[in-house]
Amino acid sequence: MSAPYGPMRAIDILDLYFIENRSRIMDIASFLDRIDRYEGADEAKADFRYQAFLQILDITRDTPRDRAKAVQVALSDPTTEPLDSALGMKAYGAWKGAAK
Amino acid sequence: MMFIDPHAHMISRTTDDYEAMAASGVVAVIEPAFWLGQPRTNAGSYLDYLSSIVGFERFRASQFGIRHYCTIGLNSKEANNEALAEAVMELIPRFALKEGVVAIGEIGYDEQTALEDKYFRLQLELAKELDLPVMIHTPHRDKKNGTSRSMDVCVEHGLDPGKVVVDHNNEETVREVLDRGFWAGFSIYPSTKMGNARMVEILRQYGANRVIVDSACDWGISEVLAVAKTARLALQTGIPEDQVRLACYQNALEAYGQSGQMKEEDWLNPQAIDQRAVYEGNSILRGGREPVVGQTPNRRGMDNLIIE
Amino acid sequence: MKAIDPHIHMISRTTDDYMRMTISGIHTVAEPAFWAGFDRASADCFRDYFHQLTVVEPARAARFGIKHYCWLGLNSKESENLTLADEVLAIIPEFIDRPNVLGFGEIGLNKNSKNEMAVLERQLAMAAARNDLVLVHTPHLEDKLKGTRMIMDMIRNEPRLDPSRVLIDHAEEHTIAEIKDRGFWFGMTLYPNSKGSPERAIDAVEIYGSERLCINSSGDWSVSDPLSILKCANEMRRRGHGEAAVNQVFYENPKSFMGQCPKFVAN
Repeated sequence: MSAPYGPMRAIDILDLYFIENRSRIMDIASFLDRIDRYEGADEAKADFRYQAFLQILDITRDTPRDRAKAVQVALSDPTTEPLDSALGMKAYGAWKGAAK
Repeated sequence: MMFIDPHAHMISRTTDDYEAMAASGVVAVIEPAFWLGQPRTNAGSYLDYLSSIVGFERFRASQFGIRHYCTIGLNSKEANNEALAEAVMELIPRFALKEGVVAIGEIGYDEQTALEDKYFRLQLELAKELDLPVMIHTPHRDKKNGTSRSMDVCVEHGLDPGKVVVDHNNEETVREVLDRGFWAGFSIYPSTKMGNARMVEILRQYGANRVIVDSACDWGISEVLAVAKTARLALQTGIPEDQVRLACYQNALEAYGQSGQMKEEDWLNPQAIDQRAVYEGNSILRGGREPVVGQTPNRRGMDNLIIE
Repeated sequence: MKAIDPHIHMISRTTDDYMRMTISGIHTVAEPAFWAGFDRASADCFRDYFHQLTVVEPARAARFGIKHYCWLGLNSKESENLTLADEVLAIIPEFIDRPNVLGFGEIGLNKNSKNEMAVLERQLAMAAARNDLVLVHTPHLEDKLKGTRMIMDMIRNEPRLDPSRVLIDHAEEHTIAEIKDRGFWFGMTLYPNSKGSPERAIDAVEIYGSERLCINSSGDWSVSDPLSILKCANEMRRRGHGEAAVNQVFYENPKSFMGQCPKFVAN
């Protein structure tokens, strides 16, 4: 990390961003509740995206620093070989291969 | 109050515009095939353009709760490139029969050349054969004569004036168009075509029978809320509500509904917005944006006339 | 303040957007060639698209006092079709010397496939042969990390390409360090609702420094915001960074990168 870059202190950052990020946690909590409330919750919770989501929540809480990068890496395809074809392929936001 | 914008080039507009239109009460738009601000050099460009207005654009509109229809045709400017025009004329019949195509258009005259005349007539014959309405673009220069001539040619080819919308009218052309039984479109387009104060005066003077208000919004300086703003101004200045409803909603539905492709139920019983939907495998959600799902657009009733 | 948006698809935006941008201080933009939302059926369509990017759009921008530059190339999504790619690459030389063309872009990978790599490799060679600047599109979501690494390896295999003349765009937390360590420029993209918020972009400025960074809106035909770079500049101010530092990121940096092309003059 570079040298201090502004007149703000950590407590100022907490003050500036606390409310909006508190609200984001509510969005996440209610998103998980919503899945539980709807028909077929077990199926959704077995989906690789749900599993990845739980994993990044843990990473966010348990990683001591560079959390954003750790979350990004956890969601990324770690392989190195090119795909034979991209036809009909799309991105999901989490790596499907991790579920196998 | 519900509105239809029966002339809007949405491929040149943004998703912000779709949102604003939906919020102002626009339930449906019609996108006429036209010129792009630059001449196309080949039929391949035309094919991709027609594909986009019958497909991708329709899908994009649906993501904001707006029903999207289109008209198919070779515009008058590009009719002057004969090689291109011949190749495009080969494409038009198959696109004209696709779902959501409500007319042949916008066709007509630009500089009133021989080639423009040739392809205008060929497309009128096609419209007759396919039993589709016609949307006519009238020239910006020599408008009065060009408008009269467009109608003469329609009559000569045996088209029913009740299936032809003559667009881009002004004070100079309106009387003849209405007297001859055609639908009269007015494009509320800042600076170059019509302002909405002038439009309100036309409604006051001629009434709203067979009058159709549109925005003609495109890649130039134009107003996507032209229909809603004109309606509001008309109501504020004492034009009766039923007249405003005719000019800003019902007449467009009557005229283009003759295609059998456009029905009120299409938007009265809409599917909920689902941005998870994909068009040929492609979403509008680029770069992993969050989809908006299940937010049925707010349809304003007739009791709430003021658009804010 | 004055600002430059180095990545925005203006053909999909309105004159209202041009007006808002120009009165807000964005007087210079660059538009990379990209995917239209649907796959084009023929290369002929690209001929008209490149004409629009090089003639019509700069004229439309000029009405609002905005200087418009562009990048030409075949995007990664349509690169899966090798026949189309052959034809599109063949017409690029007809347009590449036009006065507002900065180089090859946005070229890159989408799903990290073999065909995408083959087409990217050919376009990198074309750029290298002409000593042109390159603007690289990296894949989205789970494909980004792998794709960014593959692209950087390919560029390193083309020794004529100098990393300081290549900008790798759509960088995020997990790719920035590797891009910067290898000497490339990196771009960060601001989307309104999901990834790439102003807060995270300014976090990157604080963590990695502002050197070789360009922040852009990537505004296009989907939900996007042509003023997002100014909102991001405001986030930087809100945290107490000085005006000179803000100006460096949002004006001087894109000017330095694109200014390596002699055709580029910032407004």
